[in-house]
Amino acid sequence: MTNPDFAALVRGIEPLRACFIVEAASGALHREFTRGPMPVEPAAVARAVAGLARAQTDIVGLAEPATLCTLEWPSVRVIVRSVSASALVIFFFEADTKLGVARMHITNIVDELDALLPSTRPQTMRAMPSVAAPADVEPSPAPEPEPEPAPEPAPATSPSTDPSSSRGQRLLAYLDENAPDTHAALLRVSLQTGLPLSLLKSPEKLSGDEFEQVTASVRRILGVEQLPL
Amino acid sequence: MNFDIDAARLHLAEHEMDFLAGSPVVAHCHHFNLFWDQTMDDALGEEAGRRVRTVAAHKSSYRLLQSLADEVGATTPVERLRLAGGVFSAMGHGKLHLAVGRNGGLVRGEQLHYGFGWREKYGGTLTRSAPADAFATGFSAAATEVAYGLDPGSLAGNEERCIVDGSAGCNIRVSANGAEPLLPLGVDPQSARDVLPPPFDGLYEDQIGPVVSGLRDFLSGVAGDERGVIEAFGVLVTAHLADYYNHAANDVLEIIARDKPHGVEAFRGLLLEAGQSCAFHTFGGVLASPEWEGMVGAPTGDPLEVVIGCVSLARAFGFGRWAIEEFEPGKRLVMTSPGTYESLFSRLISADAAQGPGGIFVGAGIGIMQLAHDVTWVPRPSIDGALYLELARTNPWHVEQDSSFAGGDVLDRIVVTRR
Repeated sequence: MTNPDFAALVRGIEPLRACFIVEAASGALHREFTRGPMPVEPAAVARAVAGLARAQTDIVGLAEPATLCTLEWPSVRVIVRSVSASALVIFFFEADTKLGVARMHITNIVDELDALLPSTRPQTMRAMPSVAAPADVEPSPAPEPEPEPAPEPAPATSPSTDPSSSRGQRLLAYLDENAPDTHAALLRVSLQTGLPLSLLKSPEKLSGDEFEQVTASVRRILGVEQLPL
Repeated sequence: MNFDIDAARLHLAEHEMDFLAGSPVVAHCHHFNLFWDQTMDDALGEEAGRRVRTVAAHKSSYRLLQSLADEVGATTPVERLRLAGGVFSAMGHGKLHLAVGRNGGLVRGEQLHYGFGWREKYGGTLTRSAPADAFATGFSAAATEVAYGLDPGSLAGNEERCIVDGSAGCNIRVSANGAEPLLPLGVDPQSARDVLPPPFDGLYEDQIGPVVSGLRDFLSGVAGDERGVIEAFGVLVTAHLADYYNHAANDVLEIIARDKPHGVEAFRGLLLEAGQSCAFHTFGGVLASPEWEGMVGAPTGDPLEVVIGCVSLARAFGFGRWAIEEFEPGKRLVMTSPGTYESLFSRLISADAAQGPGGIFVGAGIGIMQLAHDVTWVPRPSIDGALYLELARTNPWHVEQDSSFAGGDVLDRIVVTRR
């Protein structure tokens, strides 16, 4: 069931132990990635967590994609995120992962995860279905993995997938998407690195050393040690 | 010890500046304060930035606490430490438990403004390991020195634990310092009177005056609660030592002008951004608050009404006697001031006044025009981070400062126009 694109996307997230894409209504697995053995059966976790998420959306409704719940188990942190009306993604992070870091990783890949969903997914996000099978009933059989959806144009929020842009452009586009006070982020990079603003506005011209300086600055601004680029 | 901050305040009415035991004080919110500190750290790196900020806090706090102890007649170490803790909380910076002797000791902090504010603003999205409370750290060292009659700079503070990394509380270690003694220079009321030009009126003074009076009456009752926190207008407010900002910004500018001159443009840009952030979050937060509605009436969306409100707030917060020279709705705002708390410091204290960092007056000019024209006031808006970013992305306003008191001109003057 492991899909190569899906695995490639999530494998780069270091503290991630496992990640499942799950049909919201049934808890059936669409995609599965695990890094090493899991202490629990993925399908069982998927069903249980889908049930929890359903219970929540039944109560409060859901207008748009959102983090549905966060579970802090002794050995792992579990975050359940909806990506469409019909699909959930369950992330299993190392137990010592800071929640802010986990959420940031999720935010960074959620658009690309959306593109991996079956092509029948709704065009717009809407409330999760309020009527669904309870969590403890036998799930309906997992649907056969559907063919990969036709390639979509890279969303504006995923510059790293645009092969024509330089690495400097991709780096600063990533900063622009994720920095707090994003409109001031380039000024911050200039101040941290001492590189002129005029150069940073043409990031394709960054030398190797300058690129490294800018990379360090972006890491510092985002408060992370690694960038998922 | 509860401290009556208003009783110790001197209001320099003609220049709309406030002094606490001779040290200039202004009101600023946690959005501005965090952005300001972050800019200092961006300029120098976290460690050196924190060092400069701590020294700025130490110098400005020493002046305040020494004068305050003299004014109220606190003579013993116990009295002086209680006084320091009381004024710190009354100013909205949190609570300090100063377990210190002549050679230093441990200070425990609760709800310290910067750490508390950082967690409030960024805790859900960012991680941070570097401690946030340089102001409390410098203040603690100064409080210990004043309590025991030591020279400024004989002790130093270091925040060993801070809530920004998930710790339960903040610990500051005060210990003997091998560094050079500090020279706690700063602005005082007499030098402000001596150097500032005579005040002058702008437009709409008949409307601004009563609002400022009402605001000052209202603010006179505002002080830290039992936690030492001032939560008002949707933000965490502090009464802050103006010379903390001034010392830090001037020292940082001097260093980067020497070591990485390409960063100066960005530094000035970020200080301007801090001013913009102040106008949006603090002025905007007040204008949208029930307190403002009760005092002045809810904004109707008339741009002039918003501009008048913001200028009144700047005066009531001790920023200086800001005045409206021209206002053409949708097009142009010209503001003047005999000086601001920033330009006054630069003129009096900075080694190179002409290069004084500034930022609050200029950045607020843009923020005021955004609030006046680009915010929908009916129904009452949410003055929050999302709206701030939206306005920043679509900002149509451009600002120029064509007269600088710090640089030797007779006044500060900015012109904001639509691009």
